[in-house]
Amino acid sequence: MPVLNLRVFVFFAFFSLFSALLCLTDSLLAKSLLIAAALFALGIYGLLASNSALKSLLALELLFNGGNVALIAFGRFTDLSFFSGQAFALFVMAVAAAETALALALVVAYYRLKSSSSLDGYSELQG
Amino acid sequence: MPTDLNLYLLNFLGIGIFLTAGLAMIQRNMVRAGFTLIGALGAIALLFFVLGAELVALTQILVYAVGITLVVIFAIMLLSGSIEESSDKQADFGKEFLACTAAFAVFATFVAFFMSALNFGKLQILETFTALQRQSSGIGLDNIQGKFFLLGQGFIERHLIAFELVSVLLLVAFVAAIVISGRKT
Repeated sequence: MPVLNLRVFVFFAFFSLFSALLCLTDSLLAKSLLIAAALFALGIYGLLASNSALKSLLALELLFNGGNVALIAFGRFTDLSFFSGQAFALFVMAVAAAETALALALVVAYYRLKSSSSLDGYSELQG
Repeated sequence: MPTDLNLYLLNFLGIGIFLTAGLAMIQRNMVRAGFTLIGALGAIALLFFVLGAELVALTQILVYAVGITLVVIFAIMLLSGSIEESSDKQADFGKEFLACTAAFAVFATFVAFFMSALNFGKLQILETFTALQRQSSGIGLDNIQGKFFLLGQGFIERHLIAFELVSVLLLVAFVAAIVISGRKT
């Protein structure tokens, strides 16, 4: 199983690097930003590695969450009123909910047509 | 909460978030991946709570963990052919390699940016400076009621148009989703 081995090996290598960096930093803001960067990177990995539309939706959620963590952290540690970061994070959540609803509807409609949720056939849907 | 305790909490939460989110991404079984992701989103909600964003933490659990992800899991269960991700080993290896490289490049870029442009040492000074400014202006992080009031006031006074636009966007998206998924082919 070469693919599974590559996945697991890279995951644990990445995990070791992340844990070391997280424990070495001594600021709350830096730690939060590291977590945000790791979430974003994991989302990118899920988006590129998967050929299922539903798995891509799950990966997109991680991407959005990475952004949200960075927004909240910057709002908490650099904004005097600590309001803007939270407000933007709430807006991001609302937009993510709308995006997921539409994407799920498209996946269900496509599944009815082709009995598959693979991303490879979506380019055939023209109009 | 004292800052030292928060530092340890953030270490544990960061490792937990990374493990659950990473496991969700490397799983082939989609239902398991979905449930593991709920764990990751719950841990992120705890992180928001530690960072003093209680309302966002609650919304994270209600909207992301329970709302969006559970709906995606139901969709995976309904579309029975998509529970296991299909695997074509030759094609998958190239894709995996590309995805791993891209993810690592993104992470390295972010970390390099934080270390050079923002500088982790400067971040700590900025953090202390903002905390001192807040202390002198009397804005406390422990006053949850005050924070909720500030957030609500901000939505009404500073971001009213964006707030209304988001509500219209949600309405349009949900109506469109009902129309698209209900259409007979």
